Amino acid sequence: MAKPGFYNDNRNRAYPIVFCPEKMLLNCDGTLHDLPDDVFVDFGALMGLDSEYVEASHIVYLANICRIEDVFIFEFRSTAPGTFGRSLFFTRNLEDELYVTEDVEDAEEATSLCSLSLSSFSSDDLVAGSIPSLPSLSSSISSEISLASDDCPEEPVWSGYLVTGTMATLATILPSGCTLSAGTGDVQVEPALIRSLIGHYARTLNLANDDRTRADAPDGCDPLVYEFATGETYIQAECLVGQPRLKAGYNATIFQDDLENSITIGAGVGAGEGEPCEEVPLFDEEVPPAGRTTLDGAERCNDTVRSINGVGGRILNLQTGIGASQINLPDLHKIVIDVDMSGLATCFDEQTDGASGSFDSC
Amino acid sequence: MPEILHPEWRRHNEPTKYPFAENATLRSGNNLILNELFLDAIFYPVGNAGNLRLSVVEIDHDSTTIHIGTPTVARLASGEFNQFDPPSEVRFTDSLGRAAGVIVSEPIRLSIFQSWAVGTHTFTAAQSAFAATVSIPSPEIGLRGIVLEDGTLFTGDVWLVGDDGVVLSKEEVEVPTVDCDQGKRLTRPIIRVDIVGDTLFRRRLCSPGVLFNTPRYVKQITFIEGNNRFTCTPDILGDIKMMAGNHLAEDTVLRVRTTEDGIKIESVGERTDIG
Repeated sequence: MAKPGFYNDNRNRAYPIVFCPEKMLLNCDGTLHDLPDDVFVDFGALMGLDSEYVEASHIVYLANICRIEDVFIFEFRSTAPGTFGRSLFFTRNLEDELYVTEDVEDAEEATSLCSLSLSSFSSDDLVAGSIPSLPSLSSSISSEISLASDDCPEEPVWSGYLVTGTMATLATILPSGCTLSAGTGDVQVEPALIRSLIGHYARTLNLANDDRTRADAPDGCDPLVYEFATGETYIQAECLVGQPRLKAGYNATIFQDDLENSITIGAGVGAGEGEPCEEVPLFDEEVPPAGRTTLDGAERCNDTVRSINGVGGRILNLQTGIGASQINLPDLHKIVIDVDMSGLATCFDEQTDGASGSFDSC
Repeated sequence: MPEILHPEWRRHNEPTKYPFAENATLRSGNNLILNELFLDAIFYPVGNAGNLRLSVVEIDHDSTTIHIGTPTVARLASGEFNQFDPPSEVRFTDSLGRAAGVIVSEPIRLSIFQSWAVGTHTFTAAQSAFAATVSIPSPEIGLRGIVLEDGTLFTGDVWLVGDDGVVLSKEEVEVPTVDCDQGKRLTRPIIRVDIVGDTLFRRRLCSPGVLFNTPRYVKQITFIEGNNRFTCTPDILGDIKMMAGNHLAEDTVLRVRTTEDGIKIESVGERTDIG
């Protein structure tokens, strides 16, 4: 009696694989084999934000099936650049019931269960049946992933599910210790079983500040020395998730338009928290360079001579009149002013010491 | 003739309306969508709440654009291909370029659009609704992305970077939970925006640096009189006072006075050049 149904139909056709006869190479004897129809009955993959998957350009395909004793390991790969080196591994036992469903996330190929399993156990182990159970194999991979995680929320590059039929037919062509392999795209998964999340949501917000314009030392002066690398983009915060809020700080305005679902950030003198009394650092550890008091290394207004007796400007004229003479020594940064009373009627001939001033500009 | 009991997936779909719903008429005016035109499909445009349909087919002289839509949004996403070199898969994206799905067919099947009249052909839900299984609901919940005024969309891990005098920083704020009686407070991140300017922006405008030479400002003046040295730095306003006389000689003849363009140092007294 026929057993109509989606899974049952799929046990009798290549689906979820695009039909592809004799594309799998058995490494033990170099023969080509069909992938038995009754191995897979359904498959689906979810391509994450980092997968770089593009529909109609990239594919998902079965790369390897290896067998250790009664354990079958299926490795699926994708041609999407972001999934390079990261595969989906599914494991089944020869005695598994029909339609076992398994959801997995990607794992590094370096920790491929096939290579790990085939290289880690001797023939004695195989004979003795000391192969670790499936959960322990899976957990060894999971722990390696968790060690690599950082503060950001861990998210798989891609993930998928596999529903299988029977392993009996596969077992007749794949001896224990051997691997069936297919070339890139030879055993392709139906494209309509792949769903991409690329561009579908904002995962995290991250904050950074580009460097400010920093002062340079004048030619001939020692360069300014900072305790950190300059010219960088400085990270302020990473991986903001949940419900972050925006706050108008110094001279800032934030306007929220619920109708347009928009936020406008603007500037206005004295807006927000007003004008700052101190410089706002780009990152927590930012300090002025050695010998300076400003974060950008520039001179403060009162660090330079802006005027003498209230007379300022880019060029200040210093003149001597009657009774005083002036000797200019630019190379020595020196002006000698000699109050020699020249031109004046004096009743003594005592020599007056010259007074001079030197200017320091560094 | 032997019957294939379990045809391959695509062969199985070929004579059926799939990926359209069984009750779709697949006809709009003189335009008929043949059963074998599409073999498979999946759609997951952002904002899709279900009930997707093939809404519009735009035929140009050399291209075909297929739009899918919902009862409320006729053009939710689209896929375009060259009429004279049709692909085997048509990729769909929405107006912001986000992935929205794929139609699986064959070039020979898609080439049938060459026989459609140039123009816009619309379809109703009754005519071209997709089967529910190919329409993945993707409600627009949470922060889907950030769109700039020019339409640029940012998704994934979005970086906000302060520049040109804008400084971004993170603060934490405690907010009460919904159940205020419990007194519990949650810590939520705040993105603080400070607009403080870039003090040396003129130098940046003069970049590369060859256009700007750092000036050598006068920072202090050293007065030397004989063996005495006095180094003066500017006051809070950057000014240095230079005066004649001191507490020992209040009646000095020396004068330091300001002129229109500077400082003049001179003495006063009976001049020898006056008769």
